[in-house]
Amino acid sequence: MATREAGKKMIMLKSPDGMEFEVEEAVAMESQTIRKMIEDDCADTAILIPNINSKILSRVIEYCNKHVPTTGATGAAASDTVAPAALAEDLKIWDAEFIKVNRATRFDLIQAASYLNIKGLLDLTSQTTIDTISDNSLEEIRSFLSTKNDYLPEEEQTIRRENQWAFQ
Amino acid sequence: MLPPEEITLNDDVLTEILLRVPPKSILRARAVSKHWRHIATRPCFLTAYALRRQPEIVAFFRLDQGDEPADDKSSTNSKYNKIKKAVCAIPFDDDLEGRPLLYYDPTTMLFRGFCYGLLLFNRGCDSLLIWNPATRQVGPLPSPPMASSRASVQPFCFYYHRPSGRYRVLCHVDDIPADDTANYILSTGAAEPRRLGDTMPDGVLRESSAVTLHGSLHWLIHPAKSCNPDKMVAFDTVSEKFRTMAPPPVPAADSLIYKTPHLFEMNGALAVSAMRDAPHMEVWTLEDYNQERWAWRLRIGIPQYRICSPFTASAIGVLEVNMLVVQHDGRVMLHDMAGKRNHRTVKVGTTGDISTVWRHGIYMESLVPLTPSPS
Repeated sequence: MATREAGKKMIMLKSPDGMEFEVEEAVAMESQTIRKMIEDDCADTAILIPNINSKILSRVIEYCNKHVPTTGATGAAASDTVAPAALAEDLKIWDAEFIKVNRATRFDLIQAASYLNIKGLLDLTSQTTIDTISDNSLEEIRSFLSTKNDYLPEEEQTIRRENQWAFQ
Repeated sequence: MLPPEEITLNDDVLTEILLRVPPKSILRARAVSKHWRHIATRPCFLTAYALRRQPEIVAFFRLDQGDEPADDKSSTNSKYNKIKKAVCAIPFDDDLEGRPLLYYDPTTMLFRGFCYGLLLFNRGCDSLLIWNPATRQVGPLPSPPMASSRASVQPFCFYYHRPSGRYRVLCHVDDIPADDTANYILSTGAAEPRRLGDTMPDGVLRESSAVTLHGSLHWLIHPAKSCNPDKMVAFDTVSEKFRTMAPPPVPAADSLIYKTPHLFEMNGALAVSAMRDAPHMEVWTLEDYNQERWAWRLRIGIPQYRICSPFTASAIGVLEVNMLVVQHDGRVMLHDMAGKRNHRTVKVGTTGDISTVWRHGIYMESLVPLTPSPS
């Protein structure tokens, strides 16, 4: 662990509500958006993350901390002790726990993952909603996702008729 | 905190979600509300959606009786239990299990090619139609004028015309009784066909699907059917002029049947595969498009599955930069170009229907409407 401690570079992330989070560069670079900023040398002191409050940002960092690959100088040692399959299984369980949040938080996380471009987090947070849209009737989708039907009955009928097979 | 019923998806989140749901669910989602419809029909959404799809291998083959699932609803002619043909997409995943896009009756329809996620068919001799398997939308194309009932329309290339946002077919009409042969452009959303002023050089390989690249369509010339066998033909889709180009330096073949070269796209460059010293296939790429400079790229061994296996393998495209897709003897083989080894082989269809397998290629599922909206 000593080499990792010595070699790691820290990055400061700031949320719009004034909180600051010091994270390892490797962790921050789980976000492709931040990676690009760092690579373009736009990240000298601190990076302001707009639109993501400290509560959500701290959860995003928690996710990145867990998912950052443990390779590099000590990578070989890490994989010697734990088999990759076991690691993957552990991550899956951790992810399942992580996503046990209310809907508002989940939507905030989707938005954050989208802005920060963190593919794994986006896949994880959007899956429930993808399933809702894929597996339910229109009425259920509207009710689960609080969307008001603003079609006139005849307008909805026309749209259904256009692609009748999709509603069977 | 807001009560749960007040929590709605904002546009960014909704877009992210919709980009990840299958095409059928998108068609349904458009009926959820006007706003959802707006989000899921925007051109930028459709473009992003198409870019997210995994490229698949499209395969075209004959089905023997009993292969078709009895409850299939997409069949164009499910009452008849004759030999059918199928167009299948094979996702590039572990099991390479094909998913049927369409079953059809070959006595009434003829599969002619595809462009991204759209398939082109002849219905009868004189009309063409476009089918989008993802949306099950069928779009007619204008029929070229034909004076006699014995005239036929031969599509030469099905392509996307970027400046107009329309799908087009460059076709050839042979009206021998009326002594008229001409080339036409048929476009989605256009009422009339358009006769081309420029004539196509002879000998263009009809059997080979054309490759669209850099705004031009490209064909190889059949070595035996042209006075100009050492050329390749290109058609500029904007100026609508034909021109000839330098062909790949494929050595002359002793047997045309076995060694016909095949044009395909390889990571943004034109490429040609040809059998040479069977059972080997070689690939050349057009390294410099403007200078028309070709370079030899690779040579791979083609396995023999049957004693009488014909050596007509051809490359049809590339998946994930390094996976060369090769069709051969009713099979699709993936060759790992980085590792220089044959990676996987999958058998498609039930017969090695050699006469039709050239229609394999790389398919991208698409929600793009067949005619762009007026906005």
